[in-house]
Amino acid sequence: MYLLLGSPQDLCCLGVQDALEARGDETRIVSNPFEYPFRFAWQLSNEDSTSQLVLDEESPLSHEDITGVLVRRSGWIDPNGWETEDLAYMQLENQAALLAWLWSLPCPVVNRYPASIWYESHPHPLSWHRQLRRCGLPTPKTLITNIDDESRAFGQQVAGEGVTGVVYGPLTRDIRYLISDKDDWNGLAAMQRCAPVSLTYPHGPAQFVCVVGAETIWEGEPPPEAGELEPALHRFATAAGLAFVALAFARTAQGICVIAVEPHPYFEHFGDRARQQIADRLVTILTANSGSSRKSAVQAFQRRYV
Amino acid sequence: MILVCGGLADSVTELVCARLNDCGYAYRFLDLGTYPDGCQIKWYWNGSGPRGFISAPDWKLDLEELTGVYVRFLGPEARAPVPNIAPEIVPTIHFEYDAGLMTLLEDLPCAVVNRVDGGMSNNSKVYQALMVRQFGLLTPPTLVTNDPAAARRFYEEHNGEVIYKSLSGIRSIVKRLQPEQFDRLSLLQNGPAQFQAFIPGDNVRVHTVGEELFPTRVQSDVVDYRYARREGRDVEMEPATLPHNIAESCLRLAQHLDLLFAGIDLKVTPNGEYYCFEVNPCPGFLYYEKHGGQPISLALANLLRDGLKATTEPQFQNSSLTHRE
Repeated sequence: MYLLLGSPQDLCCLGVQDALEARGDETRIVSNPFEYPFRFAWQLSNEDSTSQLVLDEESPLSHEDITGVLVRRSGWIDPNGWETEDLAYMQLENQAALLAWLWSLPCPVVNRYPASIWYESHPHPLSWHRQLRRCGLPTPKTLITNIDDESRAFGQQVAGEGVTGVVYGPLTRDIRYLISDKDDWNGLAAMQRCAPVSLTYPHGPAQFVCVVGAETIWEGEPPPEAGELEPALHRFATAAGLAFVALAFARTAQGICVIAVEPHPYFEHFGDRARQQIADRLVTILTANSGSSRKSAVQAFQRRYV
Repeated sequence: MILVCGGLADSVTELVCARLNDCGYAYRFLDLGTYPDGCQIKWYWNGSGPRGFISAPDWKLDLEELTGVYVRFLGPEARAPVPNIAPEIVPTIHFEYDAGLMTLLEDLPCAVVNRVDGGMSNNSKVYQALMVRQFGLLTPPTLVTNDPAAARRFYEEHNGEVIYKSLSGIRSIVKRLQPEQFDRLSLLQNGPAQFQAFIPGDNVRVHTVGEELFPTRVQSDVVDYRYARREGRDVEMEPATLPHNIAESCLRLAQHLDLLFAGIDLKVTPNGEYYCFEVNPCPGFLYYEKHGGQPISLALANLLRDGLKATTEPQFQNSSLTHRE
């Protein structure tokens, strides 16, 4: 059984489900395997790790019965009927259990997220800069400041390169605003009196690329720099511990830059052809070790951590 | 120069500052209770690590001067009110403040105690348990379940010697599972919990500071000694010595988690076996230093002053794509 952890509407889950079922493989899309009425019990000791997941009374799934897992959600709980505080607690408990259980499974898991990404699934692009840089991927100039003069000086620097305005985005939300006219700058100055702001260069349209295992799948025609970018993309995916990750590139006054990293890639950013390629490649990874032993999970853990 | 980020009322931060003072090590204190009020910051990324400064009313610190940063983020109760902001938006603003600071700290080349990423494993104790096994420390028999019947079976298998606690990083009091709680096991249907075979013996809290190690043996007859005084019971602490392989395991475990400073919870059984329960990335070590008498804060002060050996970022200088001035 291949478990696809995500929403039943998730296009990636659906694409992979179609591809697996076309091979005759059994699949199940589940939002949260630990949510009632499903039953779950996992025993861990020094020597052993065994679990049982009951999605259907007739066919409980042991560790070995799960042949692959695609992870699109990290233990989502339907908020209906929950008090806010209780929901937050239970969400954390679910996430904690699911993260660990996924690492304990002997089958292929895409992605077997490192804790740092599991708990911060949509971090600000700036938080990836260090890793991107180390892997040779270009990043845009970025400023965090609460000093109005510094913001305006940054704006002038950008203008000096023939570009109008700067991009402002909060560090905790995935939205961006173009700061270009006097009112924008005054508004930014008012915000800076309250909190530091993050500013970066404006950029052209985003082009998405997905790294799936050893494959690089571009949406549309790859950019001229693709030959140089692709080895760096694979270094990045490996360093981040992600078998499946999407990045967005865009052109700025400085050249092509990474403007976003998606550890849970959105299928919506890709056209039909790329989606099919991604789904096929995911299936290749999920089915690669279908006959392998528990050793593979232990080895994966050791490779990463020991 | 050392930067200490924390709260004025936080006794652990206060101890760190006091030790730095005693040692005569230069440091600046960034009060996260009021930050960024009264501060000016400029952090600039241009194809390399961050450059810029932080200034407070009576000091200014260039990021390049830093040898070490010690940080203890604050909860909402320790923060000053944000003027002219609707109360419901204040948590978002605080989150934004912290996110900026975390982003900076993650990317500084100096010693940072601790970077947030390194501590993320502590959000799942059972994930840490998987890791612990790889480093030669023992993990108690553990059950994670949302199934009341499985919890009952585990209880029977371990002859009623079972404790339960949270799975996540949320602090919970470790308690023994008692028959009178069986009725409440039906609540497991709301979500999984963690049960563990009770391990007899003494607790040993190990603080790792860089390559130094400070084990403290804790003797108490209460299941969760942190709350012994609440139950009117005593706790005794004394410096301990660890077998070489266990000490090495603790140091390597902390290193792999990218934690320059960690509080590792062990238990040593009467047979001399060492079980590991948790690696705390932000240990409140004051309690142990005060009662166990070990110079943890001194080691920390030295680490912050001496920093790390310069690390060279692997760079792909030949790439025409990396933009540097």
